[in-house]
Amino acid sequence: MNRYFGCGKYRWLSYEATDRDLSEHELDFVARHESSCARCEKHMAKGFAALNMLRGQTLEACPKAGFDERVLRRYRVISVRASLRYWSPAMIGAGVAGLVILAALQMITQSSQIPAFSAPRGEARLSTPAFPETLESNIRYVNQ
Amino acid sequence: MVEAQLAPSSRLESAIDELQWVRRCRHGDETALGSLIARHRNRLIRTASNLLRDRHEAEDVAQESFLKAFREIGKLRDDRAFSGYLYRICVRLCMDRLRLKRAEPAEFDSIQEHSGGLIENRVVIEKCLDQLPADLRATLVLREIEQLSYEEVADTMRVPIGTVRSRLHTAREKFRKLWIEAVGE
Repeated sequence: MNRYFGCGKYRWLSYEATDRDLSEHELDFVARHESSCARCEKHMAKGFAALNMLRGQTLEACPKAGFDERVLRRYRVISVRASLRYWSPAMIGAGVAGLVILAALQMITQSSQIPAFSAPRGEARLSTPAFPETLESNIRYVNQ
Repeated sequence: MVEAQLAPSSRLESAIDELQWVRRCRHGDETALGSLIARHRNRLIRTASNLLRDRHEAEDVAQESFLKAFREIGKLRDDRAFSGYLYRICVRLCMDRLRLKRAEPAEFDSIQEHSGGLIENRVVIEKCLDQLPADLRATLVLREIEQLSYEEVADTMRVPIGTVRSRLHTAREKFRKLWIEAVGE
């Protein structure tokens, strides 16, 4: 059990040693463990070989010609879209308000053209009064 | 000695230039945008290439990073922090892409006869990296290839330093195992 924890600590510290300076106590532990555990030494040797291989496979940047222009062009398109998106609610609101005003004006002008007491022009049949309208016809109606 | 004196002053000058470009960028000045792109594009493309192991995708991510940074420049409180802000966006976009990619099972059989050629090594390394989860892969690449310090990795990935330390250890161990499995040593 102790050996397991010792190996784990050794491996942890061995990797850490590549990133920072180990303390004297830690260095002492690493040296003691290294001399007593061949398995760990082999383990770390392979680990470092793999990491060295990784470090050696760095890809360098080689941007294609016109990279800057492409970014700026896309930025312009995005800015136009964003400003349209920003103003579109206001434009829609203004459109709706315009339509409402137009409809209201239309209604006002139309209602003034309609005669107050007249039959609609589209009426097909003639109106037949239910009761006689003049005094004479009224008398005739009663006599009947 | 002269170099030692000149280096900090030129660094200061470039920092001042960048500060002015960022300020002008907030008002949509395209010349300033162009200057910022020219200054940071190589670093972004290199980091994205190393994280994604694909140059075309890396260029695409670098473009997106610039656009996102310029679009959301209002969120940046300190103009001096633009460089880190841009870099963080780039790494985050790379990690998003890595998460979206489904890890394909490694086919190491075809490369069992490993002779150590440059291209062969590259293929093996890419396959090993593909097997790592996005967080571990990004931590490993930022530390081992990009040579960032623990603090810089923590700042870029927005995690505590302790998390970087433990992720790095796990990533190194996993990478070692995958490498041995691939090379067959």
